[in-house]
Amino acid sequence: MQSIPVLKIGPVLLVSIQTELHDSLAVNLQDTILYKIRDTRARAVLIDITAMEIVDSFIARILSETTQMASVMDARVVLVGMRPAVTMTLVDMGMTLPGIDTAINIEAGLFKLGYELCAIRQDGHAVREPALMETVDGQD
Amino acid sequence: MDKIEIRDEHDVVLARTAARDVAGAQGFSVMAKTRIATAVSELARNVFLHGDGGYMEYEVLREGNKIGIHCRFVDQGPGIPNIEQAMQDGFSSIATLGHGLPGARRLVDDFKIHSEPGRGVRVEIIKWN
Repeated sequence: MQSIPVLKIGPVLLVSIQTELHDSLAVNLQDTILYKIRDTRARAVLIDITAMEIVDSFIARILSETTQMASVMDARVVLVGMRPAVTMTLVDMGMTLPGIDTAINIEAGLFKLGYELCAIRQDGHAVREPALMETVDGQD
Repeated sequence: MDKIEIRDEHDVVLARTAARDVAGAQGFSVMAKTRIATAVSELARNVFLHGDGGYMEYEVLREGNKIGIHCRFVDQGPGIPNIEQAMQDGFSSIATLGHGLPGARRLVDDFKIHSEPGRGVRVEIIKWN
């Protein structure tokens, strides 16, 4: 059976939905997330929907419910990467996802949760500010 | 018209993917493509949840410079006893959130629903790019 991987990164669960979400897969995902929260004592869940081109009212309801259920289990959910067209479509339909915390991408989501992605220096110490990566450009 | 049988949730995915692909192939904007595909997803789900299965037919429409997609959803279910009520926001007969029909209507340019008690529901939508 198809399933969506739930990765644990420290106290955060990362769920990146990269496949067409049919209804029972969405319901299974909800179960998986709640069990993982219990088993790993995760404090937060990042759900990445960058790859989702369509979020209809059923999927939106599952995401919204998952957020509420996780909150009852003392874990915070941040929904990241919602496409502008998906956002506009949901609002058109009258679904404003009340109570759902969002961020523009995974990095911003982690930041919102209080975790920073730090570059590790050669001596093994973390650099406080994310290192500025120089763009590799074959043209120059 | 092309036809997709809608018997289960996998067919809902097939229907919305077909709508998205046709809209994409016809050069629909991302917004219009997302709206028609989402509306199709809602209506296809209604066919298998409320209508005991059925089918979707779809075709591309051309009117002058305008390009549109026309979809027809037909089920053989019990029909909708009170369409006005079903079209209201938040009304649901089986504890979904009731955004399906009214939500789909807001996403398209033309929306017609016809129900005969005991003989099923037919919904027709048109989305212009």
